[in-house]
Amino acid sequence: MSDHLAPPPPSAELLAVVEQTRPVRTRVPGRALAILLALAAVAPAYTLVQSGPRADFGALPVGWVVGMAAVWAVAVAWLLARGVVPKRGQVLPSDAPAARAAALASVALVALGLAVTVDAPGHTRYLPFAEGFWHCTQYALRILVLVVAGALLLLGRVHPSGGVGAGAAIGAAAGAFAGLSLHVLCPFGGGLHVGLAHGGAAVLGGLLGAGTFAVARALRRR
Amino acid sequence: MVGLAPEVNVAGVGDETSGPDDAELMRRYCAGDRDAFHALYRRLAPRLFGYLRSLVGDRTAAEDLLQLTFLKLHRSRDVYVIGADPVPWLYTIAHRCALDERRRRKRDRVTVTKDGELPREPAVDLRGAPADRTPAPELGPAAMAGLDRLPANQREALLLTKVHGHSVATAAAIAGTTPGAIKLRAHRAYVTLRKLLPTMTETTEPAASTKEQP
Repeated sequence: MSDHLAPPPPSAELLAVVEQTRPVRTRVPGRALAILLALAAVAPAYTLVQSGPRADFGALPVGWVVGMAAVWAVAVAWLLARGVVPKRGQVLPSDAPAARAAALASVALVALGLAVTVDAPGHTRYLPFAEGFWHCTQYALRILVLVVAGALLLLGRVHPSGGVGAGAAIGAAAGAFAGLSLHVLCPFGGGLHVGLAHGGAAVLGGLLGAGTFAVARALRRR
Repeated sequence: MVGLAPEVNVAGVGDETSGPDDAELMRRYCAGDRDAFHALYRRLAPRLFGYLRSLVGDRTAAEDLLQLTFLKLHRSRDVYVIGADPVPWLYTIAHRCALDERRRRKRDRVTVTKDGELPREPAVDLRGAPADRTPAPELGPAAMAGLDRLPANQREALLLTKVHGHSVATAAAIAGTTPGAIKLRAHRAYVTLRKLLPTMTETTEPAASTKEQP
């Protein structure tokens, strides 16, 4: 290779830094996954212990309860994997597919809630939309804020590009986890409520996650 | 197509095809082995340097960016996942460094040399090509000039897939976009270069003929 094509040797600054090389603990994606799941579970676990499951729980069709819980759980697992776990042999999860997954899953969960909600006549309660929406959204926010903050601390440095897509997927996963716990805990029914307040938590989480990682990236670039 | 060799390995000098692979060297580096860093540098710096020079078009800037890339690699060793291929990750770091440099250049009103002088404009010969433009590995002068006229995202897509031999998926991960976008950009780059290169080849060939230049 002729001189004008050959790279320079390591600079003095780089060599000085490398000279101080010490062993480091490398990343294990499963560890971040477990920590984020644990953070997501804090508020639901507390609420379940305090209040127990929803009042109409026993009157709801078992198949629907189990089936919808499985859908929520799969959404959580899929979104967290997209945002946290790289493909085999890679260092980073891919950002653009993670963002797409967040958008797709959020829309699907809202649509599912609007279309497939089942209530127990005589047992399920109803609230005016705005009141019910705020009731569940403030609960979801407790989960979203904790998980997104944890994700930023654990993974904020991982992506050279800032990881906005990963942030969106993790936030949407937190929202899906909120939806799963609301499926068990929320005493209020109606497709509009479940679709927009429970499913909407995934949308809100995706936006919060993306926004938080974007702001962090902008601050790092200053 | 003039000057472009598909799937070219531009590792050049220092490419060690025997011995531990890149993932094993990276593992040792994370374990505190300084020699592993030097082996990684010898093996990967030529490729990254070629990529950076193609992106920023300036040897001095590319040298600085190369050092910055390896410095960021050193500081990000805790991000590495044991067993993973570090090469696409390193390309991603280099790519982001180049993008940040481009942003910084747009913000700066005046760029001065180390002596505080305004930079000398590169000389232009009568054929219209900058005198200090040196070709990237395996790329002829006409191809380099053509690449310069492509939009940045198309140039990146073409460099990553056709010059540096990355898969579409890996190139998408490095550039922070989708495989579909990379394919589209690379295709558009090819179409544009096909139109540009026949005319550019005429103007960048040595003026051996008696034909007058415009």
